Amino acid sequence: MTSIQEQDLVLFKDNSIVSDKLLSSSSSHLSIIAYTEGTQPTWFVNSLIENSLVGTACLVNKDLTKQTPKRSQVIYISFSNLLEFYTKACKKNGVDLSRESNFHFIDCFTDLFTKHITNPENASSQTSKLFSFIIKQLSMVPGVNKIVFIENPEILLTATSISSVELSNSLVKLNRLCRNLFVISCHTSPQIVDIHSKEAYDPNFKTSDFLVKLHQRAHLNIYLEPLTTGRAKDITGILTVSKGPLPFESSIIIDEKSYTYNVTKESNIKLYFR
Amino acid sequence: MSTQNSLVLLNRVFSLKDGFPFVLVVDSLLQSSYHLIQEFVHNCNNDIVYLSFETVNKPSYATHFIDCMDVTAGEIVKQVKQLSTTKPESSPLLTRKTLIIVDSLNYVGLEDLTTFVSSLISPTSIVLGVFHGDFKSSSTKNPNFPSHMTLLTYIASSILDVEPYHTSEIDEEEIDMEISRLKTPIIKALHSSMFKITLTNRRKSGRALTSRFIINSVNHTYEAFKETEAKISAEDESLLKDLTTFNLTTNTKQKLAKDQVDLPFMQAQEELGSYSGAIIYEFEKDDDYDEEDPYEDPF
Amino acid sequence: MSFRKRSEVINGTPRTPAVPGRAGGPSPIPGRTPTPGVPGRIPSTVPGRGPLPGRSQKAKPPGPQKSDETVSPEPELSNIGIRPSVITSQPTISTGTADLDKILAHQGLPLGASLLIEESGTTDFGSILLRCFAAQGILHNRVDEAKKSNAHVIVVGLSHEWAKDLPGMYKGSSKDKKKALIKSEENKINVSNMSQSSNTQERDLKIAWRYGLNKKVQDENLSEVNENYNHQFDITERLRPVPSANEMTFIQLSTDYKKLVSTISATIEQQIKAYSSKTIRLVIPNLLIPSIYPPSLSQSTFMIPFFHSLRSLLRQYPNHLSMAVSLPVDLYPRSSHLITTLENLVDSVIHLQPFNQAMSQLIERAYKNEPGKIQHGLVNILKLPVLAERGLMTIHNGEYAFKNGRKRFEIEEWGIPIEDDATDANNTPSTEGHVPEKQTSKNIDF
Repeated sequence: MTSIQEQDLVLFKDNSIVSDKLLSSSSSHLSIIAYTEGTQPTWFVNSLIENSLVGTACLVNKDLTKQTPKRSQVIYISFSNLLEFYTKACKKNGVDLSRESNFHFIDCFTDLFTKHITNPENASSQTSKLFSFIIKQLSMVPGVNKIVFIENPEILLTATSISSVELSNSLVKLNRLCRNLFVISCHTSPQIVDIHSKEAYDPNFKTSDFLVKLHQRAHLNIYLEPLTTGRAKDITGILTVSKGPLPFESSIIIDEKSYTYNVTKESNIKLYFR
Repeated sequence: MSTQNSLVLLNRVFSLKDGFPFVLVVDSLLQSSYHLIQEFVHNCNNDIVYLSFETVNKPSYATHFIDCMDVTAGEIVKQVKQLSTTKPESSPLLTRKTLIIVDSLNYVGLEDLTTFVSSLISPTSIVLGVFHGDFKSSSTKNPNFPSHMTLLTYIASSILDVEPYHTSEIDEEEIDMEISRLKTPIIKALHSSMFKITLTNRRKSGRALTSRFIINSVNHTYEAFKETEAKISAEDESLLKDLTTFNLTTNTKQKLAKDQVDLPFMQAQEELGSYSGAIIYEFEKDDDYDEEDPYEDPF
Repeated sequence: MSFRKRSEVINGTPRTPAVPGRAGGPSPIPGRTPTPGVPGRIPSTVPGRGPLPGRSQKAKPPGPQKSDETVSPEPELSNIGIRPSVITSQPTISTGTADLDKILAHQGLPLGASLLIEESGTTDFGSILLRCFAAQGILHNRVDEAKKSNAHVIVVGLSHEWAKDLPGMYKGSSKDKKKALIKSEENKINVSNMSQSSNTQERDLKIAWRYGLNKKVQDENLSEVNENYNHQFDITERLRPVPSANEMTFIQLSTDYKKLVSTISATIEQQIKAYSSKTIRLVIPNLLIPSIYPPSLSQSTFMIPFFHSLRSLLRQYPNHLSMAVSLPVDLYPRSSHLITTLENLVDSVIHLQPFNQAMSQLIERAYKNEPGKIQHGLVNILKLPVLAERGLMTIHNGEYAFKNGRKRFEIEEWGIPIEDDATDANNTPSTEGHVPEKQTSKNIDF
């Protein structure tokens, strides 16, 4: 098991994860973190948070050792977990989110359907209110170096009557306020992503339409999936880093690569080239 | 039509000269229209009105940028019309037409689509509309009504179909499989600045002409795409003929099957197996495990 | 929803707009932060379970909670139904089925987590598991010498009749009964020992166990230290007396998910108020089955908000609430958008796949002489609590099989039985995916 070499995770050709050039860019970008059942991206997202906040990524990259405190403002919008979950999970990365003044959490999880959206059958106005609240909070965060994460916003399409275009528009508005928007979303196919879906009122259709629209304007794609050959003891899955339809500025080049990776019970991560 | 003629035609489309009021660009998750639009912009000295349904960053070339999210089709047309009425004073070049770029026609409702496009077209403007062809949406109210794609290709005066230009052999079926799961495979040719287009041009009579090109948007060179014949295999099987009474030749189907057989040692060298030469033994239910034997491998 | 600096303590109701940069005052809310040790709380009399001298009084300091994974909140240790997870040390309860506890990797279901049991076919093995889950909670009330009400069960969608069918504790053979008697005698002695002195011996034992020492004898130790954590049930017996309203609450379905959620939430609040380290077991048997659920409830605008709100409740009561749901996947297939979304919302999913006729016959033939070995179906693990969330690939298809006997519901590694008769083996029916892709069994390394 020793002969295969462990690799460092990089997303860009300048050997970075969240590139400096990305942070100093004047435009906004979209990255999609897609996962399927069985390969949740928590460890990957945590490393992104760590890298955006302090510049290191101690679990996945041994070369990024230089700490750059207050590297960017990180705003995390979650539809599926409490802040505690991320605080606890990021401990392993050596980052205490509770002490990071640059970390901001927008809880769209607690009370989502009991207070914010109480009428799923007719949710357009409540949803747009929710998003204008998010956007307001986002614009109140000082500075321009904002990295925004939004997790599972597509649940709104399944749970409520809103259309894919409505959600898509809300995300474009969010995207304009930050350097990079990471959308974390489940891509189980064909249950969630089915590009042959036809029924316009079917949540499956709405979700697929939304995700396709999202992919059409993405700059960076990340895909986590289990091995196609089935379960393996020492490999969790495959991580693919590939470019999206829209290019970054000419100086930012994606390091397109495919890794196999392994996550242990203790959240230790090992990456190998495929 | 000769190659030369078709290149002239392509240049005319790019330079927005005569008679193409609505140019439709159809792209996909394999090859975006981004570089093609850049090509139009490169060839164009006119005012550019950019109608954004999904664009986050205002493009530097856009003279006017109209945010079309949450706005009805009618209002967008009104805004564009307002721009053109104020134009004569600001722009001295009356003869130049305005280029209206629509970043994605996917967002326009099917019911409004034809009226939206036709009301944008005017003697002083040309519409360049992008349509993402990956996902088929359907009308909810009128199931018999044609789809976005059918409608648009019917009313467009020229259609540019964008495709990646692969220099090497690729497995298209596998790429399609991955794209249908919204996974973008790592292939150099995807979304690159060198790509293939299929130009369908309609004459006034409605007759359509189709030609294919390779566009290099870095140095702005275009060349006609030649369909290359499938390469003849290196092994000349005719040499084997009539040597014996046995059949030594293989037909294409057999050959294909033969090529697909992985040799056992090849498989062993792939990823997992390549960890040293460790023998991985998994204890099974019916295996006999002797507790007394200290040398037996306890899984 | 709140938007706040991380340095602030999360508050349930964001009354003030969270302006970044504002220094937040600590205001812990019930259910989120571990309840500080209640002074004067009756110390548990079960050996090894009592709060250690000098530790129980140590209230958590106010301010942002920096909970460490290795330290589980103090008060739960006094509840005999709770034990730290063997992997993450978070408080965990038994599902009432020892083998299910085992395949869930935590030796139980962690509090704050949910379990979805999917079942193919028209059998109802899922209900057996859910009944054991409920009965285990009730038993924790009955066997505690301190007579505390340790657990409460909330059942959604069914009537009181369901309570009458809970399985009783397995009494065992006469030999076992004798052993149990001796054991209980021993316990009594221990109890008296404990009231006299602070028993250092047990403390050592507990610490060693907590820090993962004594690995080899861990299993033994666990059962010794916490013999009341899990019980074996006999499905032919009935739990008597029938659980009272103090032990079980039945919540009727409503077409308004908000009403359902608020009723559940109120019940939880009320129960926790009565005893701060009480565990609440939320049981939803036969989700969406048409005889109970009207068709309109199958809409995703009902189901998804309902389950999202339940997930939210589970996260708000991470030291009290856990949930188990059974779902007939023949009616609502796994390939549908609704079920996949539900699976994403719960913390763990297992799938029971009873063998079809041909497969059952094969197994029956193979185990002609050992009827005790006949399995009834496969258990596929699709998602494990906490581990799946951390990004581990926890899908195990066709690696385990279950058999349901009178005494217990067993889950074991699956391997195709070997037949003596060669001709029969050649005719091995390979039918409708009931034969697993993986035929070699794997080791369980917990």
